[in-house]
Amino acid sequence: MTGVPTVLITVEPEQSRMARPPRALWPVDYGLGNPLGMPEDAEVQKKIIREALDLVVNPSEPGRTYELKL
Amino acid sequence: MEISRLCIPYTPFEGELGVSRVCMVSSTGVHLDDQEPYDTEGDTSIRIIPGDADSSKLMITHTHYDHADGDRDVNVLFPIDRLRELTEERLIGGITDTHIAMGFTQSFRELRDNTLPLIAEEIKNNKADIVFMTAG
Repeated sequence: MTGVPTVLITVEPEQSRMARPPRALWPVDYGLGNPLGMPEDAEVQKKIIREALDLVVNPSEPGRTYELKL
Repeated sequence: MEISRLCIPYTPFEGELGVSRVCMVSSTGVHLDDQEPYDTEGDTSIRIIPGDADSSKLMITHTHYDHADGDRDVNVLFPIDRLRELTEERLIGGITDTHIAMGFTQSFRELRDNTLPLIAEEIKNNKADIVFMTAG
């Protein structure tokens, strides 16, 4: 098995860096409990997913946590 | 924690997003309301969430973060409805038949030795092309 590409949405970048995820996105506007944003805010939720999938599709720096400011 | 101490296991994406299947792996404590809740003191067991699960039947058992918003709309941490919409919008090919969830634990050795192989096996079996992970 060659592996499967992964992407993590993190709201605790200091903690998640210890696990060295290959791709990580940090939506800086949100905290614990809200990695995809606020309830009933489908547009922002999908925006965060799209940004995360962009990290998968396009070459990214392994291990880097990318910040997302909305 | 030394899950990937020696290297970063970066697997390049090869393929097309529009036909790719996305599997969610989440340590937010989400589970179906008829599945056994996690032990909030520590639990390394996993729950399999079917891809066709009704999001209104998903609940969160976790006492180490505030999930009031997740209780209102589980998509803030387990975006199953949003991934379905992105499938309809043809951004992705779909979601896998199974997704994987777990709760709080600090038993990292047990996680590495016993739980992670189970998760990897499930991902192999559900033929995910991309794994989308969320934590509390």
